[in-house]
Amino acid sequence: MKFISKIVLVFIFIAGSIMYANGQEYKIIVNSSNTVSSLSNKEVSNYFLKKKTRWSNGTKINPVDLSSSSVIRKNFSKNIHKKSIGQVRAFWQQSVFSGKASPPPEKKNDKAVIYYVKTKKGAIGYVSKNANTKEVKLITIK
Amino acid sequence: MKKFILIFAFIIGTIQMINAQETNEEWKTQTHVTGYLSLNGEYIHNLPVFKDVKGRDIGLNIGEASVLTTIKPLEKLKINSVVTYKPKLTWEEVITEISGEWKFNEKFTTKAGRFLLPLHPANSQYYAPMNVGIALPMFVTNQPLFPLSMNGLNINGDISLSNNISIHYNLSGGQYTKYSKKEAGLLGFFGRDGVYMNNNVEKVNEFIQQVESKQNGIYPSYFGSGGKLAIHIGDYLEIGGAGFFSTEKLSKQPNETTIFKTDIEIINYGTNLVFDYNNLNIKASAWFGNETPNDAQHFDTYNWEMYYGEIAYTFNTVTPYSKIEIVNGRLKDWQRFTLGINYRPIFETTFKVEYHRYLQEYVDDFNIFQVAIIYSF
Repeated sequence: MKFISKIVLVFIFIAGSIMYANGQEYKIIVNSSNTVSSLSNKEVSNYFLKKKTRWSNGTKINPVDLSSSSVIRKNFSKNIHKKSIGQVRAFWQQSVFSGKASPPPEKKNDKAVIYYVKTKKGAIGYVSKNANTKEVKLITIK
Repeated sequence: MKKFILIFAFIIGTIQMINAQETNEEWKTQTHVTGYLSLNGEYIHNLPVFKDVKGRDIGLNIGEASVLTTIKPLEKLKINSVVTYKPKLTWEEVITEISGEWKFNEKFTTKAGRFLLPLHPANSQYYAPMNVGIALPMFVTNQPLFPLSMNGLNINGDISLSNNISIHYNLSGGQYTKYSKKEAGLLGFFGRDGVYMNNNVEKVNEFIQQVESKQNGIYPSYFGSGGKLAIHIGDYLEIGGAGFFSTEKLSKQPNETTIFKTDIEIINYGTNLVFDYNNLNIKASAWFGNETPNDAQHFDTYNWEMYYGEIAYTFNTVTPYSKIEIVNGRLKDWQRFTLGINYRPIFETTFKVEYHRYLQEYVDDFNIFQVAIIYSF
């Protein structure tokens, strides 16, 4: 009986972890001076992969990522880039070795991302759904 | 050696000056480090003369390792350095790149130092993550037309014509070393494949001894310049032309200190195409060139034609690919066909398996098999 209880507990732990990982939603933020209020998935992906480097008013786009171990980043990559974090990292490794571009800076947590976006004019980032985003502007996905 | 110390001192001095000035600016220095280590296996099948000369036709060893460091002390300034290990490299070749780049804007960027010559997509394939396969293209290992890298100056930029179309230009000038006929790969066959294909099988042994004797000296260095002009349509098509020119060669005999200066005329040009749409990647190029030494003893013009084609399709984590290389060389013509599979289940680990078949009218066809496991970080 004890053995079965242990199995059930382990199962609940694993299932819970998976649900937690998949349930970590994000919101996209830009500097509060930015006039843009909505973007498509493709546009966001192009900005983060530096395929587009200027906002429509000519300001330089400065994307910022969460660290590669972040669950939020995993979901962002899956939904926006349609790629795993590994595939995105491989893309950046190729870009760096070919001298084309370097990856966006990585920040440890929501707070650091919000600070970066707040203080940088053309910045765009993403944070967890529950983060306090009063000082930046939220972007809706078309 | 002195040149490298000077370049290095210049770069470090520039960083110090900029750091001193930027304390009140919001930019924070960004550093990015990436690299890889590749364990390779290689087997040459059905080329007895190679075994006679080299004594072995199978090998398993570290095939390649590289660390790339990028520092951006200012938003517009980037310092780039790449240190690469491959078997048989000289220490000069180990420092693959060290350069400082100042980006004024998208239209105009300048670079100084040592950098990969961006005339052909093959040169960037020098690094394992950039090459879907294992063996380097013959454009890189044989270097009959243009060098891998150059020590000098570069200017480049992108001029946007519309939302979807832009023109890319790239101009380089400086000094370079020509490492032609140099051993590459685990067994040292790549890079010398031209020697085997150009000479009768009976003469290979004698020829290799001559090449090795020359390589005890110093590889000749040249002054040259090159340029590339390409049109980009979206991020899926690049098509353009490039040229490379050289007029002066400096060489040294083994165990001698005198440097000989020779007037030389090298004119190479070609066209490149890169198509990357969804998961399909195609690269194709045709290059032509000739070299005329303008001294009393050597006045023959050497002519070259090289064609390259590569197709790869990515199914999630698996990429099967095929390559064809055609060389119409100084003495003989030959072809190399390549088939392979690249499997990258996670960022850190890539597996590659590759098969080559060499074809030439006067030599029996032979095969090379390669495997590689690459760890990236």
